[in-house]
Amino acid sequence: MKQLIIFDPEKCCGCKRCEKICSWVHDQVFSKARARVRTIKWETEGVYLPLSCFQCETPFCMEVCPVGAIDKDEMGVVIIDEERCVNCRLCLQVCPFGMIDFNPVTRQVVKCDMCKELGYKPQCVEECPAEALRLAPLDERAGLLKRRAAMETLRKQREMVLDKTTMD
Amino acid sequence: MYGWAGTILTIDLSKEQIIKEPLDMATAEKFLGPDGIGLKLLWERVPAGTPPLDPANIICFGSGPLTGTFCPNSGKMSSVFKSPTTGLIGVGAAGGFFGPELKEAGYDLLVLMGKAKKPVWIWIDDDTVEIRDAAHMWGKTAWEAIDIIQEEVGDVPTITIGPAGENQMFNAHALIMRSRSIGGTGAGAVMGSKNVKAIGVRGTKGVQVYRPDEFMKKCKEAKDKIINNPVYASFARYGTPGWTPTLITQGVMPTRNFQEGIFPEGEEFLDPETPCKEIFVKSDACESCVIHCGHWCEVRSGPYKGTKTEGVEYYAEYMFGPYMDCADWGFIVKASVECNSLGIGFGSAGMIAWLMELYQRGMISKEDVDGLEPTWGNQEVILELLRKMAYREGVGDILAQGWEKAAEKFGGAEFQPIITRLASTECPRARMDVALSHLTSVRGGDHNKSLPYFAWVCSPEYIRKNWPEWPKETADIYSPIGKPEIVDWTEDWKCVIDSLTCCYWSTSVLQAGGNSPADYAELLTYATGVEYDEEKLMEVGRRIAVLERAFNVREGWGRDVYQMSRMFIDKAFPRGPQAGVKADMKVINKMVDKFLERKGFDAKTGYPRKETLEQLGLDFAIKQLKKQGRIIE
Repeated sequence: MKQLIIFDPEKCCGCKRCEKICSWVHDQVFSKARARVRTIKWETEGVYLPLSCFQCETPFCMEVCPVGAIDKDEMGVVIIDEERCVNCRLCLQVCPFGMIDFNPVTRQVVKCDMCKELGYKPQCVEECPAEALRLAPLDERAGLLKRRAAMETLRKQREMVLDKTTMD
Repeated sequence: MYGWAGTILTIDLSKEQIIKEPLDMATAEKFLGPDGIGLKLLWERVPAGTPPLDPANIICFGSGPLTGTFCPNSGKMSSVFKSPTTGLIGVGAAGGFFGPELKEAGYDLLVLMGKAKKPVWIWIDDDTVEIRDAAHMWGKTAWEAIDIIQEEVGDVPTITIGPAGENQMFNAHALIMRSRSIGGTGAGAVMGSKNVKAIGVRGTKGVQVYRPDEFMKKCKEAKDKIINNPVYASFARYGTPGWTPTLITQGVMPTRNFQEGIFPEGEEFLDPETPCKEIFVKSDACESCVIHCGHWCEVRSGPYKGTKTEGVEYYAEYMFGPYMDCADWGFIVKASVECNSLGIGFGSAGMIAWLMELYQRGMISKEDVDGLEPTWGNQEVILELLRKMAYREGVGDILAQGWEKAAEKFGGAEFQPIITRLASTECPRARMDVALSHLTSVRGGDHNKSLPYFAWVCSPEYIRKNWPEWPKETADIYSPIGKPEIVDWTEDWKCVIDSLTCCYWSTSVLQAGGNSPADYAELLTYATGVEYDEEKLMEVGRRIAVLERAFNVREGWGRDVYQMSRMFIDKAFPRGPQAGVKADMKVINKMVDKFLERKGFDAKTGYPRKETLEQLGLDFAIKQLKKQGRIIE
């Protein structure tokens, strides 16, 4: 079944264990700089957003690759063929979400492969202590976003009602 | 290199030199990490009797062989220097992301020596190390300096000082990121004395381990041990504020400068569920943490509405709560933010409570406090005094010189909660674990060195089972029996933890079934390739603990340094479970004697015995102390 990693910024506690395990799985070293999943932090606002490739339906990176080194596999995961890649970094330029990373040591473009080698069991999901990363069937994400949008509307309405009550 | 990064980075600020030396493996094996290796450097590089704010003092920051790896709760760092607060050894640990990042940049230890001619900040970007001009940051708060650094080099972990550090306030702290600190013993003042405003680091090299498969397997076990522990759920939800119910039951909640041990008027305030409802937004963690005891906090109503920060915990809760007679979580957040950005350690905020008691007793007037009225719970006055201390204005200048100078001016030394030269963080009157651990703490009397939390967190059966050689009263915190044993063990263990560098909370508090020295020895062996077992690891701890105490002896502090404030000896709580209990110095001194003898020190003089140092391979210390005549042969 095609699956996606769902990121929940409200649960993320910012420990970066996802980054550590990612660099371990792919490079056998603990290095946040080499991770393909990143926890982006706004420390003054307390907003922590763990992110990795969304595995787009129509990936720009795949479209622009001049040597056809990027492809989607049977599980819907966008994979870079390292042998074919010439490191032109065009994919890095066009990804609208900045999800293609550049490994500063091997000097290669890299991206999340959903831990294909480990049977598509993303280790970042396994190791998250706050359950901020979750694996879900592809269809579920839309449902989650809808539910969240509905909750947000509800919360705002309730706040408005409460504000009014206190004003009266 | 495995586990360790392999390089010590020294920055000579006077000569503007950057020196990179390989880490000596024999030293690394014997002294493990920053708490130990830094201590050895301090001993070797700083001559005896050096004033703490002299350029000849050094300050070491670093992380140990497990930091930066996947070992749970290893995102820590430690610091070693001679303390301007106490004149004793200054040691401290902090969480956040600086330690792991320094390691990933390829350094075990960063040593600052000398003094820069003008304000500077240090930028470490893997192999590139620069001493940069900090004229545009000097005078700014620590948080403003972080903004400037992040503007210049991107989102990197930092150590900064606020105006309190620049002005060398006696216990200014070094702020790690925005809300964690190496506090208590004046790391910020030492940085300020060297004209160093900030340090920023970025590392891409990463950390490698020697036996990866076994290491990862053991990491998983270690994680399971933490999260399956009975204490875990409370700790993950509340963090340290989850302890208040225990302290209330014991009747030792520090209230109004230790005048009371209960705070009934703040019953709702002290309920751990209250901050969850009022200010906690979500959990927050240091690097590699599986507990996440921190919180992101936001004030939603009242005069401090909109104030937000990470990391409000028990210390802030009691200091700006019962200790100053406030019961307002909004104010706790506000005061924490002020302390962090001004660079003031919470310990010196306690001076305000002392002033309040003097005012309550009519010993000082409004004029003494620049026209401010330090009545209990007066939030505006507290915030204004914090600001005055950091900028050394008026009465703030007197307070910023330390407890002794302040008592010379105002009197009232008998109301200062000083134990072994440092302001105490807990009440030592009834609890014997607090009394002994605070009195004999090498950095001065607080809970950061040897307080055996597990004495009251774990069941007596657990302690009996694991340490059958200790007396059966060991788990009874009100009994003096067994305390020398447990405090002695805890001190050694804390030195190991601060050198690994791992989080104290992943071990001692969660000790019942949590990760033991044997577990860490295994992790360390797999990470570094150097064989360790429980005995060898605890010996490393003992070596560091003994050398720290010997350092204090070298600096002139013998048995008479272990002094308790008269306020704990002459006065008692008027009500609550500990009503009428005073610190019984006869009993306590007997514990101290026994403790010192256990540690291999002479109880009468407080000097180390030669064979103690010999057994631990501390020959360089023997040579020095012999010269000074401060060793028992």
